Amino acid sequence: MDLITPSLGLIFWQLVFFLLLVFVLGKYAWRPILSSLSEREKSIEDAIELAKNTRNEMAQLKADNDRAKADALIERDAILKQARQTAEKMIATAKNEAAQEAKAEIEKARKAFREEQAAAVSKLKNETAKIAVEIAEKVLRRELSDKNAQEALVNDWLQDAKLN
Amino acid sequence: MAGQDPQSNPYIRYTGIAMQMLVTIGVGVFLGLKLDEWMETKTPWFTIGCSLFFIMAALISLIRSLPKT
Amino acid sequence: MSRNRSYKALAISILTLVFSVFSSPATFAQHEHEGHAEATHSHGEAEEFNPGQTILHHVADEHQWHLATIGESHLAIPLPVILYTPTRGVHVYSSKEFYHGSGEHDGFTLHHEHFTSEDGSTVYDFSITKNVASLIISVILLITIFFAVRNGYAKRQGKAPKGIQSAMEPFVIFIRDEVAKNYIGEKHYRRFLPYLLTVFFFIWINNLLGLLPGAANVTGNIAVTLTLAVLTFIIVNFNGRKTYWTHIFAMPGVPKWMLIVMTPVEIVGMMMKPFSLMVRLFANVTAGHIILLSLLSLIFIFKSAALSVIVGPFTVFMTMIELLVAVLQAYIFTVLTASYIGAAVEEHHHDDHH
Repeated sequence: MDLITPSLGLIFWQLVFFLLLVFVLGKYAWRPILSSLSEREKSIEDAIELAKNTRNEMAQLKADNDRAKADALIERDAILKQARQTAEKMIATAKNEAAQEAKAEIEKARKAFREEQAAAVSKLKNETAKIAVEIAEKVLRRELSDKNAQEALVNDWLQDAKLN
Repeated sequence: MAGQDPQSNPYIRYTGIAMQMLVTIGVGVFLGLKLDEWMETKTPWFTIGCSLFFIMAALISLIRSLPKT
Repeated sequence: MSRNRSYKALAISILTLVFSVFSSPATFAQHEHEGHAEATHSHGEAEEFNPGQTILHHVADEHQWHLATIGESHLAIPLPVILYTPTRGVHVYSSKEFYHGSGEHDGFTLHHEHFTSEDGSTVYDFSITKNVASLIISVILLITIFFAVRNGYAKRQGKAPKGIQSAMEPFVIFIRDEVAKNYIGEKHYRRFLPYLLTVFFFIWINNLLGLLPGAANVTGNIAVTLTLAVLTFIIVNFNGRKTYWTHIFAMPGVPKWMLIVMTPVEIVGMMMKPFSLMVRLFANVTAGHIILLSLLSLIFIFKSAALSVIVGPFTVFMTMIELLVAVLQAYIFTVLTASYIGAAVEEHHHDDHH
């Protein structure tokens, strides 16, 4: 029965030392330990949170970059296309203009040629007429010197005129 | 009432209940014997009564500590 | 009394015989020696080995710290004996005075570790016994360890733990998260954490100290477990909320006339919870010690050193189990305390539970 009969002295000392232990450890060990534990946990959580946020931001940034790059590419393509189109148009216009100009030039040349031709022809005609008149004059001068011839000629003309 | 928390460890809960039953019944019998000795009863009424009452108490608290499902 | 003793001795001998069937080396030379020494010392029958008495002597408290007996001389540390009697007041002696001859000194007699006064008045014994001394050692150890741990935290603020700090940290966190937070709840657990942590580490370190050869058996002493259980009881009931008390005195959903039966049942339950804490810790630790000592006693019962070849490994194995039991019992005590506190501080959302 000794074993299961609590002794007063031991209860007393146990109470004293245990309460002392609870008090001392509570005040000088558990409180600082627990507070630094939770502080550390908080800082770790914060760090993890920060890392996560940073990672998200990085991903965001990268996505933004990618999008900007893609946009730039699209824009470049558009610009290139437009440039090509413009160039083509310009070439086409230039060709067209050149053709037209050439045509106009040819036309002008042709026109000038024709005009020159006409001028030449009319000049030739005039010359011919002049020569003919001169010849006629010479002929006439010689023929009119005699009266008979004159009369004959006038008659000729008259005859001709009548006939006409 | 030990371990009403659904998360509590069933092993701990049931060892707790078993020990508590055992101790309850033991204390009941011991108390009855002591009372009979003290009262010098001819028939051990206190032993019988206390044992039965404490056994009942042990069973009731066992049933109450079991989960409802 | 003597019949009781011999019955226990018989029971233990039977137990040891059962174990001897498996039986085994001599790692515990120290212990063996001690056991033998004990036999010669405690009862003066120099040659006769009485395992029952030896074991009970080892498990129980004493007023000196007996380490070994070599030949005829006892190696023991004397401890202060503090006695109070209503008639004579407080007296302090060295336990040396009571451990020779008839055990009588200055009007006090020590017989089977109990003091009686010559004048017949009641003796209140506040001696620093072996258990109290061991208790003080454990308190000093705990304070040293956890002050070192605290300094670790102060030194490495916010950094990874090191040394003893990292050894203790998982346990502190475990008690905080798995025991206190889990059983008491987020709202109240902080207040009870110092008590729970102290109980856990106190029981654990004393269980471990108790396993050392020649050490005291503090947590296997009913007075110690009683004190712890009473403290738990006081804390639980001082923190009982409305829900807790209505569950005891006016169980919701139970007819009025039934309360006459239910209330005593609840009160018995309320008392039995700390009582079972007390018995469990005491019984587990004491049983462990008895098993270890029984195994070692085999060698002396059969007076055969050869037997130690078989008993030794078995004892080592049992010691391993006791190391596990040391932490397990500390854990169970803490968990159950936490769950009782949890039930007490619970606010009513559990009314529909029963």
